[in-house]
Amino acid sequence: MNEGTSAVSEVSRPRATPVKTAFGQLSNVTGVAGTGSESGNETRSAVRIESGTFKHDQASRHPRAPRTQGQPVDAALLTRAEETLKSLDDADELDVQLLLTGLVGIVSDMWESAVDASDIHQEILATLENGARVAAGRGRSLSAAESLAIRSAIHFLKQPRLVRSNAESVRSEFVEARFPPLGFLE
Amino acid sequence: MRPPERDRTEAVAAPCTELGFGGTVLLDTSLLIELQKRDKYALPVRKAVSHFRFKGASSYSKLEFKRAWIREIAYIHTLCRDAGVRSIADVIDRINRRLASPHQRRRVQTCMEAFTAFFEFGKYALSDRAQLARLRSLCKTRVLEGAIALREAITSEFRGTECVRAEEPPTEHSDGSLNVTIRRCSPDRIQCRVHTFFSENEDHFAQLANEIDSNPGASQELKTMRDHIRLAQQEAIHLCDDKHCSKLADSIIAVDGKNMDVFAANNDKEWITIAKTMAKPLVNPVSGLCHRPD
Repeated sequence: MNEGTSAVSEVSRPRATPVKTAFGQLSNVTGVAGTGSESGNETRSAVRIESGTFKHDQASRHPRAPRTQGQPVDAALLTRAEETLKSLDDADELDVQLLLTGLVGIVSDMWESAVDASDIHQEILATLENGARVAAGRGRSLSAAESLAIRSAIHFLKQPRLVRSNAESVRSEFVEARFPPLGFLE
Repeated sequence: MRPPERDRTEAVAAPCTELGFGGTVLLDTSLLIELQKRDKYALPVRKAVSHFRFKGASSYSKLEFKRAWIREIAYIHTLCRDAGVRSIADVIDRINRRLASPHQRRRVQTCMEAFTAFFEFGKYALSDRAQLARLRSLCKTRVLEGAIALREAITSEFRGTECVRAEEPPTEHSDGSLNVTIRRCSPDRIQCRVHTFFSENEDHFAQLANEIDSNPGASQELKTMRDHIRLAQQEAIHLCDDKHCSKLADSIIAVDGKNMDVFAANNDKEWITIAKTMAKPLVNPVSGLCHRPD
């Protein structure tokens, strides 16, 4: 019986981006918006899947072009989110729950202004909303990593221009802070 | 008084207590997925495996994860990007129109319903455009974060089959679309070493097939697995077809992680038999029970 055939290799843990993720060091990583084509109207079906699994109709040949630039997310809401995070620092148990629920509401409200923001802003907002909802569900004070991830996302959302690596950086931070990606699943 | 004799064909279920301190554990796909769900589901798993110094998984699990959730979520993302889609209602309409088989439709709809439930709060305050942007972005980020989280959940992975389909992580195209390709494999286009992996470990697979034979209560999935093991014993290249290798998925994962001290999974119907055959204790963090081989 051959016992030694299964290669064990250390998992590479590639971060999606070399961008420094610590909150205090993010300010110099924003840049020119978008890395993709801005004329994506002729792109074929947007997702390639196992052949024959799903049927596509003609409309899927003309998906929405990615938006690489756009209007900023509502600044007043971003400020309110930051203030809510600050209030969490010295909040008691009751206040923590109320503040986190409030944070979810604030983040949800950002979507109306984010409709005209870039795709990258929207992706960061989606990651932030998932994290805020998970945190509110937990109902306890944020850990240092959780707080840092949320602050990073808000910081990026305040930037007028973002690059794809910014969204990748935020995703990595939220995963490392143990915000479950499939937190919506029952 | 003599203790009653135990049926030696049965693994013994007992609460998980002392298992795991400093040892190594193989996590099945089912648990890798549980770890990515909300705390209610993830915490029992995290707690159960926290005492193991080494948490391994088979790379084949990445393929199963893509099959289980990623494709469905990516499909919803695609629909959200379609020209002509203006609201979530349009997305639901397209799911119903396009997916031919009830099985496919059910799985995608399950994802949609989960998203809808998760974002129930605040939905009335947002316009259709905002809701659609929200769903589209959520789908995309779940797919991309899921790939990262799977890596984060383990210490190391085993690549016994060198499955190319497992090694293709979901990626983002420059046009913003997602690539969740799961390639097809066939005997005339071999892309991995599943056949040599099988031959090198045939003893393990054969023992498992024999165990399934001797168990009249074996699940249909186990019986199908046994049938494909028998076919592969005649000609290992039988497995070089993705429709066939997938029938052996749990056994491939187990044999890939055969050097681990303990197996961990939450689908007892298959894994009790697999763990017993390979003389490994089985931890089920969801039920909280362990099954020890005699």
